[in-house]
Amino acid sequence: MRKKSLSSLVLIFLLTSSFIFAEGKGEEAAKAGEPVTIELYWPWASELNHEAIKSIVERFENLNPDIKVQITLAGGYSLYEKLLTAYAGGEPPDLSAMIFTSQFAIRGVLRPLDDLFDASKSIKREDFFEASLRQATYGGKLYGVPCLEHGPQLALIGNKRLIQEAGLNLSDFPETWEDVWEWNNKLTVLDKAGNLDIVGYDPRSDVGGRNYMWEASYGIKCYDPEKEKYCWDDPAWVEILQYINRYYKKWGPERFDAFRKSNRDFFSPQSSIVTGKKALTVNGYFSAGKLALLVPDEEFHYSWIPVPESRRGVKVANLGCFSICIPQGTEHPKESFSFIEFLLSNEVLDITFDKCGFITATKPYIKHINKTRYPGFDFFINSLLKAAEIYPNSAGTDPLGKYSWDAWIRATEQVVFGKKTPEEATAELQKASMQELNKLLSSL
Amino acid sequence: MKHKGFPLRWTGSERRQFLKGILFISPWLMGFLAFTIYPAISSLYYSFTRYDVLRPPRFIGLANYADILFRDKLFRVVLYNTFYFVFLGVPAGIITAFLLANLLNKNIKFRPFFRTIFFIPAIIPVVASAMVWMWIYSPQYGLINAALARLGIQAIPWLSSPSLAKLSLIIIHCWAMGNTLIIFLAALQNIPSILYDAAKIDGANDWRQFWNITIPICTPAFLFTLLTGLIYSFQYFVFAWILTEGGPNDSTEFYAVYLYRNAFVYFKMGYASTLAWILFLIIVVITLTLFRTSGRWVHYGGEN
Repeated sequence: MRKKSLSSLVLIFLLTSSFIFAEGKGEEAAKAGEPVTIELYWPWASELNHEAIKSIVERFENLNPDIKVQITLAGGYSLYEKLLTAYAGGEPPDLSAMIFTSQFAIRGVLRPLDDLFDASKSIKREDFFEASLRQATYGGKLYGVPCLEHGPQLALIGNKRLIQEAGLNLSDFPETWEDVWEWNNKLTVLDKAGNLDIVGYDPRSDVGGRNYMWEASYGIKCYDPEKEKYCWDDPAWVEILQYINRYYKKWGPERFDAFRKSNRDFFSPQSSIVTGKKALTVNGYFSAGKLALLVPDEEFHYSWIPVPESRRGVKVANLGCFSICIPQGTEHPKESFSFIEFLLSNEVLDITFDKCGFITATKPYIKHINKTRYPGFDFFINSLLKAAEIYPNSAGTDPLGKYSWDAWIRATEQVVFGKKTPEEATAELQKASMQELNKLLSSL
Repeated sequence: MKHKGFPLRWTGSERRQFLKGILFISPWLMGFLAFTIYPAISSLYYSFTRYDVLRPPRFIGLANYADILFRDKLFRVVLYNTFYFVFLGVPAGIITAFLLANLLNKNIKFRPFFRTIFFIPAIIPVVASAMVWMWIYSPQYGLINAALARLGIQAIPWLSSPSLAKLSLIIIHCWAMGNTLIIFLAALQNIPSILYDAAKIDGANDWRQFWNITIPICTPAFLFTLLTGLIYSFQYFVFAWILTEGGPNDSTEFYAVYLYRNAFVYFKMGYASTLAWILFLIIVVITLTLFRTSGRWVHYGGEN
């Protein structure tokens, strides 16, 4: 009896330890004749996009019976957290959407794609705008293919009704930041309790709040990839913070910040441009479709983003968002790249535009796409053809990735809440960024 | 059978008993070793490295500790925010729960209903609670500010003001004190009623009974809730992350938020591990201090 109970206990012990210490179920090498499975981390977690993703995968698998595609959805920043976990577990996916390409490329965990790109028969470098490829380039090598959602991100959008009610004329639509300031003063309305009811312009909301918007507008950089140096010490950044601070000084930082917290960004149904609580905003091509669907009765005017007075008349655009990258060590790079090629076919680009409202702005596709699909959409497409300067989304070229985004927001808040002057904030931003960069470079 | 000294002096039977015991708890032990001890030791090692998860860790000695303690200006802000929340929020939460427990211990109408109402926040999923409070605090559309606007009063910037944001989170913390309330309720129900009867006979009024009987007898519950509250509050994360993301102006950048950001957003797992161990030391010191001083103010039943 004693021996039996002891044996049972030993058995429990062995089973438990084998359960805990057993290796994870990694992918077994594909046997001859069995389809290869590739996994893609896709950044659209909304259920609205599931149908589109499913139909794209089905079409690809029908055309390529020897390849199976497994999609893992991870919206927003959780995509990177998931990637980090996958790398830590030694099982990164075969493909991943990416905005912060350099943050991964600098650490040597992405596969350079120049060889596959140049050998491709269906996609060519000439098909892409230089800014698109620059976003996914690090150290002279291409680490991602602009795909899934990669389009023009900058236009100044105005609510025609609010502009008219304020007695302003569309023919005088702002071209410089001083113009925007003057319009803002006429468009902003307080309610009876003294709260901001309608805001003319919020320099910290939507794409207008991002550092890459200011880079394009002023023709400056926050990070120079060639010199491997941050450029927050450019006096233009002081000027930008002084400009932003003007709004906060006039209305009060807490009141202004409270307005933004009440109204979400980026075209949720509660965002201030949708609810008619904000007259002007800077946002991307997706706004045309979103506004047309969410507020069909309102009309909006689309134009070039404002520039400083010294650059009056300069038309700037920007191109960016996701690229698809292939992590180092993937067993099926060719199959993975073939899926990227498929995603860039007109058929798939049409599906993502029709069903999800997202585009990949390659040169051939912008000729093919229906520019009049939504009011204002044609402005974004034409901006790529008419702009004097096209900038990449610098999130992709910055090796510190989201650190720089957060650092910019922190510096801005320190200024608008009166904790630091613009000079102090940019000086500290430059020092902190270079320290972080030097630590990173010394670890390579 | 009393064991004298560790296994070498044990009899065969004692040793077999011991091994049987170990085998009985082996499933839990394996899990504890694999998912608690191993990660803890790993993070201690990582705290001495530069580690971004994507590449192997590189040993750098005490550099992370030196950076955090002497060079990281944001760390001082983070410490201030965290201590503010802990030393204001924890007592506020405990006092709120204790006073509510006293009310709910009285013979009032619909007592079970009220007990349920005050306990419900403790079982609502945290993220759902955060979304509700986001709406309540909304400057333009929120419950409170909409009422103020109707009265012609300017909105209160609950989460948009650096000076109010932490207090706003403390209010939510007090609202979610259901578990602490239950503990105090149990403590109150264990107070022998003869003590109150004797006090009444001696002429003690309600306040004197509360101060001299109720509070002293509940001090063990106070100690427990203080300890657990401190440990929880030092690791306060979810509401801060969802409602304010550390803003405005870093006023709600709490320790756990800062740690998470360094680990998973900036890929500085070594730095984050260092932060974790410094937090561990802070909590240990405060907890030990609390234990050492508890003898002076905690009264256990049956003591002389």
